[in-house]
Amino acid sequence: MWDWKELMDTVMPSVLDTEPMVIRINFLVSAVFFVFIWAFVGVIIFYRFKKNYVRRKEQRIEELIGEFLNNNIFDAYMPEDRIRQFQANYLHGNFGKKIALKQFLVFAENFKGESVSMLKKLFFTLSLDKFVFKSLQKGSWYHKTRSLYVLSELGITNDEAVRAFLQSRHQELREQAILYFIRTSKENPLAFLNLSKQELNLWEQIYIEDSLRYFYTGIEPDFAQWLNHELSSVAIFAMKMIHVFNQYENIPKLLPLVKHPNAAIRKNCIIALKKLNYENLPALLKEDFSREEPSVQKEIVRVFGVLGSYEEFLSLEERLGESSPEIAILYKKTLFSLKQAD
Amino acid sequence: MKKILVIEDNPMVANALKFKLSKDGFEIITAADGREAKKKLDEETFNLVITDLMLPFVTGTELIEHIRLTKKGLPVIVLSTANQEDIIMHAFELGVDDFITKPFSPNELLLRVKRIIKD
Repeated sequence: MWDWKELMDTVMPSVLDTEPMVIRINFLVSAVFFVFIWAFVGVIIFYRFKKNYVRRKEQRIEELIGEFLNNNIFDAYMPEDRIRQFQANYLHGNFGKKIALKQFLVFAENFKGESVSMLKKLFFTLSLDKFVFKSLQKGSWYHKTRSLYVLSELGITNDEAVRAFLQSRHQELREQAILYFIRTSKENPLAFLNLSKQELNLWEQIYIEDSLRYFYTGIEPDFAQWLNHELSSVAIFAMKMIHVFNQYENIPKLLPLVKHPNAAIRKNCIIALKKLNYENLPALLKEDFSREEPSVQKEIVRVFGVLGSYEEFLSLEERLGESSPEIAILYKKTLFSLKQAD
Repeated sequence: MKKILVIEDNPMVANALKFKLSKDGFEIITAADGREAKKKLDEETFNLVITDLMLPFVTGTELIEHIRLTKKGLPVIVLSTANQEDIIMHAFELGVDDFITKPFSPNELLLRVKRIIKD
């Protein structure tokens, strides 16, 4: 325990000697608090100045890099020694390289054609590839994510270095690795699915679908190659893509999966065939209806509503048996709408 | 010298366009948002406007409507990331002369600018 009397005697001015102990302690605490507040304000001011300084420096480098890129891309390409000089002056540290990457990304996102080819050439000449691959190996996960994004945006390929990130525990890293493979592939953008060991979650499925629609420009993959994938989420995703991309030629490959042991696969297969308007589907599903799980039964009723006739649908009634009230209601609703349409 | 107003909120892209088009003999004035663009349009005379659609304060479509009301006959090229059919159709309904989606080729843009200004 502290010896307050000794402490007071040591640090207090002698003028307070005569004051009671409580006043002396109060004075000491106030003094400490006063010093702490000023130190705190000082630190805030220091960081504010530092931030402004860094921002000014950043803006200056941004302007210089922008000018450098404009000159090289839209005017004459600089001689190698001038580029090296620029690199030595402004891109010697990580700070300059990070700003340069940002500028390269802005150009890559907005321009295409010859400009991007020149941009890639400059990227290698300035040795930014080394910086990116180094951060891909040794950086934190968010640095790795950024590096993957740079690679996919500039179309720089190194499948070996990226493959491991498909199994990363960080969602963002996995997504960027997926984007990389989709954007850099020319023929089979989803080849990475063959290496997947983790189930695809819903967000990843949406992400892949979006990337295929908006970023991938190569040959459309044949999604049937993943229908028998060991991961059910991959097989289900392949089914979805078959109907999203209207791959009617894959209907024969979907048909056997209507009898798959996994109910989720059966259900999604039925949805895909329904969306592809496979007209023999009601006849194919009628037999097993009573043995099906409720979620699949519900989907079968919907199939009859879209592809079946009123008479065909009536034959399903005897198979309803002990189905849940929810399915019975759906049946009645569908029956009503079919009757009206008839 | 033909004068072009480039309205683009990304300074990097605006500077690149300025650099590219200036090299080919055009005088380029840039504006970072719709409000600044409106002011410049009221103060100066231009031969062509190149505008983004997603702009701060005043959107690209509002700006095009303003141009159609106040500067009849001034050609407009839209340069935007928006690639949905309805947005493109709406822009053409407003009377834009050309629509280029980002990412774009600066050389292609230059050719289109030259064609429109020549017309």
